Amino acid sequence: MYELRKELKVAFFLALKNISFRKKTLAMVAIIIGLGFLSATFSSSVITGLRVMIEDKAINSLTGNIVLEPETGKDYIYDVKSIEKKIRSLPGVEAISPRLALNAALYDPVTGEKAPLTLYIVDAEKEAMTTWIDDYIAAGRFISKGTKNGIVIGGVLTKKYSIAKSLPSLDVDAGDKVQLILPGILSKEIKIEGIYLFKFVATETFGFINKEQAMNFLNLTYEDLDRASVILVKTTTKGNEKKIVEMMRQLSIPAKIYPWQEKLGTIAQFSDSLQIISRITMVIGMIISFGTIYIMIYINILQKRSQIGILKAIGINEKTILYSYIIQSMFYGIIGIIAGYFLTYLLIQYFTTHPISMPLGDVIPVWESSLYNKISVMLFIVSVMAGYLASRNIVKEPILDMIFKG
Amino acid sequence: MTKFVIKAENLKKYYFEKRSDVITKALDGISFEVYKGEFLGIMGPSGSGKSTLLHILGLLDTPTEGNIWLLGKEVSSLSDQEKAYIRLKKLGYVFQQYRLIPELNALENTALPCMMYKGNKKECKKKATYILERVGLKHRLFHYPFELSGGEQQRVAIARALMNNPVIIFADEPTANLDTRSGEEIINLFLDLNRQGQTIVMVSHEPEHKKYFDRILFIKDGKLEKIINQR
Repeated sequence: MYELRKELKVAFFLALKNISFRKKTLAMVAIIIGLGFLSATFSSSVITGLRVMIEDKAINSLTGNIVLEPETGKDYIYDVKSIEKKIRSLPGVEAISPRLALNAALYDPVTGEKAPLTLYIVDAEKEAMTTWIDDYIAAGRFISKGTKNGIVIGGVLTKKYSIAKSLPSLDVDAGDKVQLILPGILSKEIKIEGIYLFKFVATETFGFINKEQAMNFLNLTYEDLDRASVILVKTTTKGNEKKIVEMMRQLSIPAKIYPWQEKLGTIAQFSDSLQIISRITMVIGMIISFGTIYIMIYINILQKRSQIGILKAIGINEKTILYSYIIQSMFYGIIGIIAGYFLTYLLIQYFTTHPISMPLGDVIPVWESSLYNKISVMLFIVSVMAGYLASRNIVKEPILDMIFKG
Repeated sequence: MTKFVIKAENLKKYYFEKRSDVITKALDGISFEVYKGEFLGIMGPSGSGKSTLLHILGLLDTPTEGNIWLLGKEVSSLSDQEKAYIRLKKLGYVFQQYRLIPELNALENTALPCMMYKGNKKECKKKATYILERVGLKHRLFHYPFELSGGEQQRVAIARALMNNPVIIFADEPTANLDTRSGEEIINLFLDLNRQGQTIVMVSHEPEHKKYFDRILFIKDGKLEKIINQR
């Protein structure tokens, strides 16, 4: 025990001296390990950011965190007000927006072009509280309770903003007037109040009018509007949906209730695929960075052959030399991991303020602590392994070879 | 009867050239003793095997055949760890090219063997300071090797060799890399140490060093050509 303590003291002393004497080497090793860490984490963070962006867009335009649909055999959910009241009483529920859907089309009498859309009759305020549609207005403004004759439409329905040129669209902009057609029910001139751009085709074929206009145009009463094709529920936290769905189911609500994951089959699948890609990218990045780190530490120790030979010649035993290089590698590993965290943090901060522009929208890389912690542990183990294996091989060499052949 | 500290018996060191099947006999059956307190010189032409002999005596290399007794104990067949312990505790080694640890200053370089042996850094630094003063480096304690002249580096190397009160110091052409004046200073330092009872074995190819040695072993072609006793 006494011998071990003595060996560790000398090893620590030598390691510390070695590191503090070669600050440039330390900086270089730290940067390389840091970049290795970054290469393992950043692409994964970007892909996770993309996944989160897609999920968030789908949640905040199509389904909410939780979606309620009519029971089998029914076209609508009835008694919406009392359902809203029940749901609102649950903890974790932030906002609710019932939507009444109608098949409709926009018609431009000047060009004769027609673009079909799903028209949602909504409470403008509730919709704004529940989804992000109002946040993505690119031209004009979102509807409000006081909007008398206006509609908000998705960018895909206009030639100017469409991201899906093959879909039918009109050559119109915010402020223009078009004909709103509800087949067999209504044909009415309406102003395009606003155009939203979600960069999400599935969401941009919608139009929104408020309840007041629906009552006016379609001669509907409040009682008529106490029904919904779908009810979107926004929860305070993403991730707790299943728990709230369970509570809702216990309230005997006459509707089918789903968390968003169950409704967004294709998107969830896409999201899962991205998750797999993200993990593969991370593993490849890790293997490359592990290899780099291993080789670098190995070379660093190889360059010390002559010095190891001298230490052996003056009677420093192999174990002490081995400990010394393991301690150095541990130190390099720790400094490198700190540098890696710092670089990742800087990059994520940068891309948070300057998001990466992708066809589906702006992507912000996601800080994934638990993943980074795992990578850190592995990087640390690799650093120590490299230090151990390199110095173990070298200390076994004949002293004179080490000293004179370098 | 004079006590010997080292006895070498029939030392052989052969190098086998695998490609050409040629055997180089660096040492070919050398036997002699090193007596306590003597200043022994090993001389001979280049490639005669002087350094090889010193490396084997200093337990830095292993003989192909033969035995070495240090203070009556056979040491050539010990394990690496045991040899390391003997090098630390009983032997001091001074190389031609100083071979200091570049990351350590003069004081730390000197104290290192003591720290490994005793474990007490403070005590070792105190002793190292004393020894460095003895070799005339009081003003250079905190200087790093690259800040010292060749002569000063060699003094640090000698101080380091002295640190654990070795039974014997091996010096491999310690003045070969130095100018005449520094070389003389180093030789005088060895002579001082020897006068104080330190056993020293030194390899040298400089004829003017002959006069300093108590005895001289002349090596030629790996064989002991003659031993000259000068005292």
